[in-house]
Amino acid sequence: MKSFEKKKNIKPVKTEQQQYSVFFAKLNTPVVFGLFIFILLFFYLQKQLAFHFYYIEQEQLFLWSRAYFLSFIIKPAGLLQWLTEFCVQHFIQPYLGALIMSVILTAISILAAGIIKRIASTANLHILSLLPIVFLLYMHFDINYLYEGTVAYLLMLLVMYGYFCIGNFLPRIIYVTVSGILLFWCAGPVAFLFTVCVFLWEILNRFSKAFVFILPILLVAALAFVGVYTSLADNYRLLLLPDGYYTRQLHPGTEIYLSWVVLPVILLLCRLFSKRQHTGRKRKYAEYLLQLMSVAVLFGFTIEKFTDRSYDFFKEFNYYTRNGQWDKIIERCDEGVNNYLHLNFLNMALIEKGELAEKMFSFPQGGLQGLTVTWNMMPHISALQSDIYFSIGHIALAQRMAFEANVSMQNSNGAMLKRLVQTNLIYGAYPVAEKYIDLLEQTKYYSEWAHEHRRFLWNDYAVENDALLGMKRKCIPVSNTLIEEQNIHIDMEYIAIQNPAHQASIQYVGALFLLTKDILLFRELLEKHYGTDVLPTLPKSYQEAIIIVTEQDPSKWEQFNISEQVIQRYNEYKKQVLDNRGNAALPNLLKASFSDTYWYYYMFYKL
Amino acid sequence: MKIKSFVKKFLKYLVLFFVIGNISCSDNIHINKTLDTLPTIFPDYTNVTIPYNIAPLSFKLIDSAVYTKIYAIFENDMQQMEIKAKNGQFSIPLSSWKKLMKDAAGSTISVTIQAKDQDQWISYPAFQIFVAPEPVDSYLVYRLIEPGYDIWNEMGIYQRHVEDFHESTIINNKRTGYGCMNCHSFNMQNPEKMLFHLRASHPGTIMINGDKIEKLNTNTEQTLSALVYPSWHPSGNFVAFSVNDTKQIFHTTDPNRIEVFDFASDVVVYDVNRHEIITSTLLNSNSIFETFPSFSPDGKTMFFCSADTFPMPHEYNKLKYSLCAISFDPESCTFGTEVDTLYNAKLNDGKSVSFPRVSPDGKYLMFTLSGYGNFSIWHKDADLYIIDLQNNKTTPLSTLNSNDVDSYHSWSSNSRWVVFSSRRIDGLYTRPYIAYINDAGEPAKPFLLPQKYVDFYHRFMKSYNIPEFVTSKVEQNGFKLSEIAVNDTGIDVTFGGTR
Repeated sequence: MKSFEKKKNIKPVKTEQQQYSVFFAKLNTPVVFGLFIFILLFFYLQKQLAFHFYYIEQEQLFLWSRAYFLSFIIKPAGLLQWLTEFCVQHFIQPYLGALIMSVILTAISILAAGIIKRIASTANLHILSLLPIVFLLYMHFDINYLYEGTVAYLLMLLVMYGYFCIGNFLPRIIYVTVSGILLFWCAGPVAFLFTVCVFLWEILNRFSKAFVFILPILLVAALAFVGVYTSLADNYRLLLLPDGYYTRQLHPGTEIYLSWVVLPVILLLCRLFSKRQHTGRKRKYAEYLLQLMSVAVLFGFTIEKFTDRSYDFFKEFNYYTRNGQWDKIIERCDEGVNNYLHLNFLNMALIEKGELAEKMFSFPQGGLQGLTVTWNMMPHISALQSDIYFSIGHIALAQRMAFEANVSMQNSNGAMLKRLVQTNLIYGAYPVAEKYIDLLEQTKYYSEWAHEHRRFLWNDYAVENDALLGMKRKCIPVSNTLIEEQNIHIDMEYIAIQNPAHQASIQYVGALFLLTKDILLFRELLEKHYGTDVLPTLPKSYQEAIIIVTEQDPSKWEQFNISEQVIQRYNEYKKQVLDNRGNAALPNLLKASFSDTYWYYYMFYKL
Repeated sequence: MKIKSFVKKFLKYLVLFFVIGNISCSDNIHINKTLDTLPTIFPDYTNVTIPYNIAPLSFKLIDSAVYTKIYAIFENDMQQMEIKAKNGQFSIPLSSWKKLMKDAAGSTISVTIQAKDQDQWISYPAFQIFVAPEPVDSYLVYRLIEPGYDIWNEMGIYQRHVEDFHESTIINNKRTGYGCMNCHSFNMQNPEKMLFHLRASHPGTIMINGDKIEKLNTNTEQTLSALVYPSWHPSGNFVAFSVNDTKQIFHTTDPNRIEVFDFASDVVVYDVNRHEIITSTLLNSNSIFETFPSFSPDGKTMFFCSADTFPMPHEYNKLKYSLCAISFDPESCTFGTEVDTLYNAKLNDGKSVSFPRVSPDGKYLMFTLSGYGNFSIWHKDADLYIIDLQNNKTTPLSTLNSNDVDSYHSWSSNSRWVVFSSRRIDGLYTRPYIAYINDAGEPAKPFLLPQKYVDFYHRFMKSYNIPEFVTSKVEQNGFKLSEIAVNDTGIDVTFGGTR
């Protein structure tokens, strides 16, 4: 009968219930489970962290060279760093950040599920394999978290899976000892987690011989001691705990430990339920569903607590800046401007569009800090300042800040190295520009840009005739001065006079005086330059400001060609102010019609 | 069985690999054309003078891309060595190099580069490498730091075994709160007598005297600042220091980028045994800037730089330092009553002196001259000069100097070698160059400290700061030094008065 059925290829008809069972049986396979997790992760990461990935990419510079590889392989956790940098370099491309991290996190989940299946196949605890990735995900929102931590976790689970495949005592202890040492060399602190987890598992399962497994822990600890003794790391925390996967000079929050703590907890649960009898399918799926819901609820309730989203806008604006998408910044600021950094990006975008003097008061300005925040030595502020100074034509400061940012990021910031290429080409410092070009040419994603800039080396004619570099070269003061940042307006005015075509420079000086309400200096500036190439026409905010300065002498308005429209608006403004004298609601009354004027800023913004 | 066959196969391929390798290294070369210009190589090792105990001089041929095969043939009277270029680079195995150098002291090595261009073999004219009879001190100590403005990240003091490529850390700032560390100094190239300063976090001066390590708190009410630029007295009982109120500022246009200058400075002497600072009215004047002290090897003279004050920072480029000397009596710890001027910045061509360093045999004093100021490491016009202390004749070391910064320098213990900092490669990152100075004070063409990988300096993003020769390895461990730096409260140095 069987052979007849085979020959005729006749399959027995399955009931609806049987068909569901087959479907769920398939769902249980690692591939389907993995695919499901991967898709979920991909969409989540792309939605939440797309700009974060672009930002993270700028914190390392992966070089495609043998020497670069060898420089990593000779140091502890060097291989891990090399692997991670290899992955992170691709984050510059849309979707690749989310894609790569989804693959890595999914692989972590699959390996964790594989381990759970191996040690407690009947316990129905497979969904717990999502816990490590939930906890690892928290860290991925933090710009100071090093993605080595996630890749190291994956390598550690791979090694741990190998451990659970070995049955005999002797091969097991040899494997754990050797792989613990190798893991320490290749991936750093996760070796400690691995050896501790193994020891815990041995205690739970084979108590009498378990203490032998202290040996790998001691060896890893000894290696850490050597690491500290030889100054590879400043303390044991960085060699034995996940702190090693966080920016060295900073201390991570407690959330970095969660993914580490959860692993022994999962092992403990597996041990507790490993002797459990097979359950019925319905019960099994109900348990899976319960676990899945618990993980989802846990994630939903804790994600806000453990992640800092306040810099999301910074990463987004940084991306627009890197790609010259100034309109996007202005568009996003139309939705609201919340802090000085917002304003720095906005004003830079307006400068780049040549609209600062015209439109700056269309947005709620915040004084001098809104134009350029105080430098606090943080790398992202240094990079932002470099962008701003480059926009306004202060090449010396743009170069300085690019250098500071790059040094803070281990000389590995591709965007700032590009800036250093530009500034050194502008200065004609060709040998050092070539050094940076050589470096960028060894990367995958900056090489084309770098190669294109090679043509400027030792070619003043090419530099001077390039739209960007030529224009910025003209901004270098002919006579040297010492930079005093509190007097930056002096440098900027000098640059504006020297290169009147670079209107950003004079607009910056004007904005600086307006935002600090220094209208006397502003008037002096206009009297010196209005009608010259430096300031051929008066933009809207300048007209508004000059009315304040010359209110007692309206004859001057003609001299400055104040438009009828501005004068009419000023009269309306003045009328409203006079009509509502003493009214506490005056600011709000004026806000609706005049918040985009310098008068409103001048009257109500407190310096 | 499978393993056996695998091993067999592996051995077979291994033999084949070496056979092919040997054949490729033994091309039947028939030179079709000999060029008339020397090859352009990096680093430029053509006609340099080297010590026989230096690491292999690996280099690359700049226009290697046009050739399919390139060989460098090193030969002297006794032996020949043939190196095949890989990607245009000649990496010389340490053992082969040592063999070549074994009896080469005082001789000349001729290097011929032969290259295959399509079907033709061409040969460059041979260049020479002169091997001096005297060795160089086997270790070079330097600080690695970015040539930056305000920010530093990781930095440290490292030692390089110049006979091979091994570099080790003496101390880095990972365990000292990422603070600054600077001004490392040795007593007469002795690795057991060392000092360096810690700034910013855990500040203080670490003094190493054999196994004894002290942390010093060197700020006193009577002095301008904590101790700065050091120079050991050869007895080891004293160290001269400058005390400086230093600032830095940045240029808009000047290619020097950064200006470091003093608002005030004096010179003092620290008594190592009494933990006491003393000075002289001749070194402690309000109307004069005194800095960069340097003891003579006999310990009886202290050289230093001295300049009339100007309003700073606005007249920074008027500040010109002369080279002066004052006698010192180590027995009574007192100074002489007169200051001699060896190089008068007011009388000569108006340049400014920095970093006076006397050769250990006491015959020569090398210093840096630049247009103005004392921080010549940022001055592109900075060049090295030498004074013959027997006749006080000053000579520019043109063979050593370049169009870019040539500055901080130190002597080897046998007085035949100097190492100096130069920015000639890219104009920004300081690299250590080593040069031979013969008994008559004449320099030979310097060579760049060799590295295992020729492109190393191109990739490397830190400067070699304060290169100092030492006769052997600094054995003090970074861990121990860091522990003292971080945990020791330090000895408060006192001011012993003006003498």
